[in-house]
Amino acid sequence: MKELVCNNAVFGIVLCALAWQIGLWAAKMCKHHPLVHPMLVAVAVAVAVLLVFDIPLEWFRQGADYIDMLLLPATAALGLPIYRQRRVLKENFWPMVLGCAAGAAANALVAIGLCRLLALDASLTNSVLPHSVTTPIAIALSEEAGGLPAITTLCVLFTGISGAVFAPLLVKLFRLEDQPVATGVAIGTTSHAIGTGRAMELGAVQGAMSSVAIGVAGLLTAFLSLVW
Amino acid sequence: MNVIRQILILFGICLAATVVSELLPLPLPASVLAFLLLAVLLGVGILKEGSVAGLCDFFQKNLTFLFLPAGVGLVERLDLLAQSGAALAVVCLVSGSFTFAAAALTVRLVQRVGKGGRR
Repeated sequence: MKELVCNNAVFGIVLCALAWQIGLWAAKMCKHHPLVHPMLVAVAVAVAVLLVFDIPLEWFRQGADYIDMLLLPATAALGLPIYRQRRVLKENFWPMVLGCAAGAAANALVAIGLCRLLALDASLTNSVLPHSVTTPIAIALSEEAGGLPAITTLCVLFTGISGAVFAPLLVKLFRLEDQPVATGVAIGTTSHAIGTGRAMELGAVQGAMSSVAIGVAGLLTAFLSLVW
Repeated sequence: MNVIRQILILFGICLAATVVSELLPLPLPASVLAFLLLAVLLGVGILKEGSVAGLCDFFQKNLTFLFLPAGVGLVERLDLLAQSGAALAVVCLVSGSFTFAAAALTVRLVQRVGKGGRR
């Protein structure tokens, strides 16, 4: 019976869609508190279902692989918002590019240093390194370097959520209240799309800068990863 | 909106990026190349915004859902997470804070230098 229901090309898609709906519902119940991210809930629900019913991951994969396949065009689609924000990008070109570059470089250096310090092995190090860029780019970079996409996804999610939670505190700490460009670039470079949601709450300029910074920082991190 | 035409264009760009990414001597992911290629094609005006906007906006709106299968792969790594989860969290938090500081301070510096140079 279990095999009949779960060992086919549809089950994985249904489970993902169901877990996602539960995630959305949970986030709504908690009034969209940043700590209750729909994705976090959805991963927990889907993992729990697979474990409780002892369903092999290969059965889930048959359907889930179709969703996975869409990550490539979905990442490509990030090109459109960059194009739409071309005026913002043009007006703040050097602050944006150099800010993202400095952020990406500091990110990699500190992360590599800490991984050595904490004696994490190569596959874990490569999994956590791209934790500040948008998930599709992070997964691609992690796979390219021999990391584990599941761990990378979790690290990206964790960084995004903590970025969204701590952003207002960091803004105060670095006295950026009157610096919408610096705030937006810093939030986008650190905590990608999840942080950008918070940046948009801080202001329109912050939101726009943050969303452009996702693409620019992702691209610069990809180039940087060619070096490390 | 002609969905199939948008699929043709967007997936065509992805196909081109996949081929180029295999041929390049650098380990640059196809997705990053495709993203760059789309922005460039729009920027130079070869591609009109309207001919990809519907499909791109759909992907943008539902982007997070698409990572769910990757996240669920965690089911195979639960022991790893129990063992190294705390260390990974520390790396993310500390490295994230430095990233924020470096990006914000650099933007401020460049803005000041730019203003000083012009006046």
